[in-house]
Amino acid sequence: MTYAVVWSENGGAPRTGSIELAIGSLRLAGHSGRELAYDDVAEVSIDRRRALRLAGRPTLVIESRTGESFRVASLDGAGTLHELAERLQSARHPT
Amino acid sequence: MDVAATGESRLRALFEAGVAISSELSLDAVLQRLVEVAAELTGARYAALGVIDPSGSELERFLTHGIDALTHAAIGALPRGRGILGALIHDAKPLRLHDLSDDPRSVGFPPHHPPMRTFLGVPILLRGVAYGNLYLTEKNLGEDFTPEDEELVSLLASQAAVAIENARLYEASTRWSRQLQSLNEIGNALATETDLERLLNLIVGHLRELLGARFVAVALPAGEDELRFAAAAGEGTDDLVGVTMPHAASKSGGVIERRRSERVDSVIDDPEVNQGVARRIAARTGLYVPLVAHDRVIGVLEVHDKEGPAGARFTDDDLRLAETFASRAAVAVDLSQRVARDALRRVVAAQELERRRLARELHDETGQALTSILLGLKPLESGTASEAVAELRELVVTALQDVRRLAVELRPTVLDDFGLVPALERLIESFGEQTGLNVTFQSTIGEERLPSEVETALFRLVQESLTNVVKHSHASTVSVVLTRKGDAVAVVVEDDGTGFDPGETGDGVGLLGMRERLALLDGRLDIESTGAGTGTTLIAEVPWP
Repeated sequence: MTYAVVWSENGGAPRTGSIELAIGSLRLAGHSGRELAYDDVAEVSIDRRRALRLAGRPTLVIESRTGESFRVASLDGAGTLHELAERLQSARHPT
Repeated sequence: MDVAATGESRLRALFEAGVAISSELSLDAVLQRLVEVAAELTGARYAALGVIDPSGSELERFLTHGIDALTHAAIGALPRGRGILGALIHDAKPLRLHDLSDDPRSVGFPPHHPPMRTFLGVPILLRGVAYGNLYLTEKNLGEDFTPEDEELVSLLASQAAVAIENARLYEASTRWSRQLQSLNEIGNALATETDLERLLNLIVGHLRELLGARFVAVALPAGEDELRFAAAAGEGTDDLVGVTMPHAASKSGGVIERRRSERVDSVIDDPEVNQGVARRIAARTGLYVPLVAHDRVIGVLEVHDKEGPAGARFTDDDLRLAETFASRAAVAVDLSQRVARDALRRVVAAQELERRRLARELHDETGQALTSILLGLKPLESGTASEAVAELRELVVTALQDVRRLAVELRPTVLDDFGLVPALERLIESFGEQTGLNVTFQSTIGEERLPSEVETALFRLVQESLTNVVKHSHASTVSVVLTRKGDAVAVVVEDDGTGFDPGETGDGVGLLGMRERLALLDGRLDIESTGAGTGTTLIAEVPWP
């Protein structure tokens, strides 16, 4: 599943691209990309604070075990940020 | 016996043969009687009658006189229509020979065949059509057959021709009557099925049974340039459903263009047949019949390989039957597609209505409530709990921002209130701000409003296209143009991204949804992209109302 997103890494400049929930890892794509294994994800949360938004939208915050932080705002329409969060949690903890 | 007596006995024998033909129901019995009469009247020791099959290539029946069952068994298989017999089949003229073995066309006799020298062969002809031949050999006392014998046997051959033609006509009319009954039954079954997938499976199954075919499939247009197998019945169909082939490189595509059905007796020798698909289903022969409804070709029926003996082929009657069937099937398919389109149209309309209501509710109710809370908090900011109030205020501002964005994403009110052009202007402005992409918009259609369903479809298409640009293209510049193109309104979305190969991606990346949405308005979607970093151009057209 792929979503259109604006994302940033460690508070850096926002990049436009996509997030793909692949098998075993998530992939952030754009002019440059990052891949993070689900096993390396430490925490996932939604941050609605105005100052930390991307493209004026709330973000999905993904913290890695190595201390990296990714913020992802969905451009795919209403309700997709929560959907993305739920899918990411399911991918991390498959039943 | 004097000449007069001989003539009289021959006339009597001919008369009896005529009576036998009119009273005997079995074709084999009639033909056997004629063979015997011919032998008797000409004094031949052996006689035979061969009936050519309807394809005209070989013998379907071979009746003999003068050869006992034991000899028959020892000789083995019946003649296949080669040698002298073949010469008579291919050149339907009487032939008298003093010695069969002297003729250069003779291929000799099989083992255990009695020796034969003198020969008379006469074609069984009626109105120029050859039905077979009547052969006589070994005239009494080793004499040659005479011109009188030839004349007499020709008369008997004419009677045989009438009998064979009558039998075939009777068989054809009985078969056609059975097929008409089947067609009516099938027509009733098709008329009650509106689910397209089930309907197509019924069609291919029934047609296969009706024609005695090894394989039947139906191919429907998929996009502008391809055909897709939507249902198949018979051997080797497992993997075929869903397979696509280029419209321009297939017999089915040709049949759609020409709007005319075709019979192909050798698939491998026909340069128009898509040999990849033909190999996949091991097709040898085929019928290709267009499905035409309301003067529009909506698909093609492909029928392959007649069941039965090796080399069995479809006939012109099979083709006519398939055409009759196709005309009924096409009406049912068209109806089913209309029902499906109407259902989709209702779903899309209901979805938009729901979005419109939700957006209005969010904007007018929730948004207003949050605004009121914000105003109510204002005088409290100077009080003792000013910090807590400021936090609360921040939360309300954010919530209000989200509610407004959500309302716009669900259904921008500007689309209903001011039309497509202002709605696209706002969408593109906001999209550019949010993504950092350089997005431009140009409209040449002026102030004119389009029907609501057209405005909605084109707005959603641009929205989906821009999302696709972000997801897949890695573009930095996007151009959106709304223009009039002939009798259509067109939206062109062009980016400078990586592009993709539409042939490989098929109708993924949301293109199927776009196509379906446009199809409801009789519109079309074209994609131009090579996947070589040259960007993508998407062109959507809808008839100008």
